[in-house]
Amino acid sequence: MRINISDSVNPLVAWERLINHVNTLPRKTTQELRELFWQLASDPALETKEAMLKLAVLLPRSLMVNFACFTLSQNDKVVDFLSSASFPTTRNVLTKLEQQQLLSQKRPLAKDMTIKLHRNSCQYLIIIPVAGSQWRLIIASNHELAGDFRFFQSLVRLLAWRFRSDNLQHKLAQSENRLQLLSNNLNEGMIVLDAKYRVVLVNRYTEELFGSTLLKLLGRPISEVLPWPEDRELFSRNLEKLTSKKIEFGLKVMSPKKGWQFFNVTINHLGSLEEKYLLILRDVTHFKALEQRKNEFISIATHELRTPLTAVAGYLNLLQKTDIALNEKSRRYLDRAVQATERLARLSEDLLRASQVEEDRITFNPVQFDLNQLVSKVTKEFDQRAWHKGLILSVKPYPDKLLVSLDQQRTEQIFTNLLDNAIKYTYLGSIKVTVDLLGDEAKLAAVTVADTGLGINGRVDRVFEKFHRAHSPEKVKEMGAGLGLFIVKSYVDKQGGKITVRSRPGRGSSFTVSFPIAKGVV
Amino acid sequence: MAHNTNQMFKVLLVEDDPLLTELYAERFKEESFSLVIATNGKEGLQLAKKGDIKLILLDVLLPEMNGFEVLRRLKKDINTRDIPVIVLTNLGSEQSDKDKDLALSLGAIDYLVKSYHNPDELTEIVNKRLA
Repeated sequence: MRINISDSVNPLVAWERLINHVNTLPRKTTQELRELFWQLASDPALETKEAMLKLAVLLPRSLMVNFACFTLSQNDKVVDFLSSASFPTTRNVLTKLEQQQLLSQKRPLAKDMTIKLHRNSCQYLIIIPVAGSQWRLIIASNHELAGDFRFFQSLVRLLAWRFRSDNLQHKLAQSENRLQLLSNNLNEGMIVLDAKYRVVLVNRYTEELFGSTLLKLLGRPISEVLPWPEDRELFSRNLEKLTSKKIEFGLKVMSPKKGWQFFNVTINHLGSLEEKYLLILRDVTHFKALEQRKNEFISIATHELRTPLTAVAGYLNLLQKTDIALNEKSRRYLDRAVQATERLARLSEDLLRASQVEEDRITFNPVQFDLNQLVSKVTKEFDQRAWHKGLILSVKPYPDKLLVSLDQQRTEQIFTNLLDNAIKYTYLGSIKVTVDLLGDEAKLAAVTVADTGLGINGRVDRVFEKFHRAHSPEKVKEMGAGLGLFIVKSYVDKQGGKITVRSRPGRGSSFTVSFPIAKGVV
Repeated sequence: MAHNTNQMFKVLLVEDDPLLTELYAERFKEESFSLVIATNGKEGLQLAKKGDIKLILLDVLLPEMNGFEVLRRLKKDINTRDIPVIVLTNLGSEQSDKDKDLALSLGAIDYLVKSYHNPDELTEIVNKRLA
């Protein structure tokens, strides 16, 4: 007589079987027992222990069996023991069970066992574990239970079901508590919106930020509850823009207490209809203030550097022009000093540029010009340096005009920096500059600067980072502040272009910058 | 008076840094204009009012009153508002910069970064403007 407690996951199927069972309950089951059955199935207020007690009372009356139930702790100790009054003496039963190791946790739960107890009025003992709990039911009887077994089957299944449901409720409550605990301890604003941009959930930080409570905000559209009316459109726009990737944008708001506050807002896609959007608001005011102070410092520092630099360069210039006869050595010293100040000037310019780029203070004045011409002009300026190093510098323009609409000076800077790097990091071989037309519909003008130099060690994409230097100082004789490529990338990005780099350490690098062809040109 | 044979033009330089004033004074000695130097904004305004200043080279970072304020006052005063002003600075850049826009919108005719031009070039620019 096997009780099959299959873990049917689908509650409807189990329910259907259950109803069948109830309908086939032996007639002798009393009304009370049937009612208890239904109660188990439908009354959440009925507690497990209470139910067990009732069973202990009702089962002997109905089915002439004795009933007991118990739970086992982790180390196989009996906790919670309930039994009907006429159950064979507890101690005897338990000892027997223990002897036969029937109490062990380690026995697989899905099995049942019938044992014979001699003497007394109980011959058969069945132990039925209730799935999903630590409970075990014991049915003690004088006769072998045949048909009545189906009843116990249903009963146990029902109990298992209840336990599973209780467990789930418990886990759900735990999970919600955990979520609340976590979200309320976040130092960032967290907002969950549904598909119609209405508030589903906010955390404590958000409540404080908005000066409201979750109850008041629930169900209302975000544009309505945002405490900054000027920024409502910003939020709506970004929410609509969202695809599968996340969106980030900055927010600047004035708070009466704290003054200007800067936030970094991230919007993520959550996927379900009820919880579709997750917004995180992070206060970056402190960070921005630091950035600003840093940039101010760089501005001032650059300015301070420039003044003596101007003086030195100026006097050297006067000296170079002087009528006084200088011998060869003196002249050479003078030239070297001039070169050094020029390099110093370039460095300080790079530093300033980099900080300006970060501050977004650079403006671009696009004009139409032939990219071929600009590239050729810039490349020519490096002829001498390349020759001095014994490198072959060549330029291959596109056979036709390539008109682009860009800021000439900034674009010159892009290629100046790229060529400067190419020459700096190449000791043998060549640097080839090519201008070409790219894209399926030939809409991009691309310039490639390819060298046979040291190449880039490590992660190639990092070369565009500020102050990143791909080579150790010992390897490269000519120094730089590591800003050249940072500036290049900024100038490319800000003008709507793209830059890619390929490199093989020891073999060389190739940088390709592309820009869209000027509109209105075929 | 002055050592120049031709004192046709007077150029006012408003600059507080002695390193630079000496440099420019040295270089401008050879030129046909004479150089008048003011080391702060107030002095600069006074000298500008005196008359026969044909061109003003105005630094931005000055003690007490900054160059833009000086520029504003120059352009407000009937006596000085027609004198062309070139703003000199060692801040920022020459191409598309917020400071440059401000200077030009306040009425300056040019905006130069000192460290970008050696004394020769500066002289050339001044001569061009005086012509």
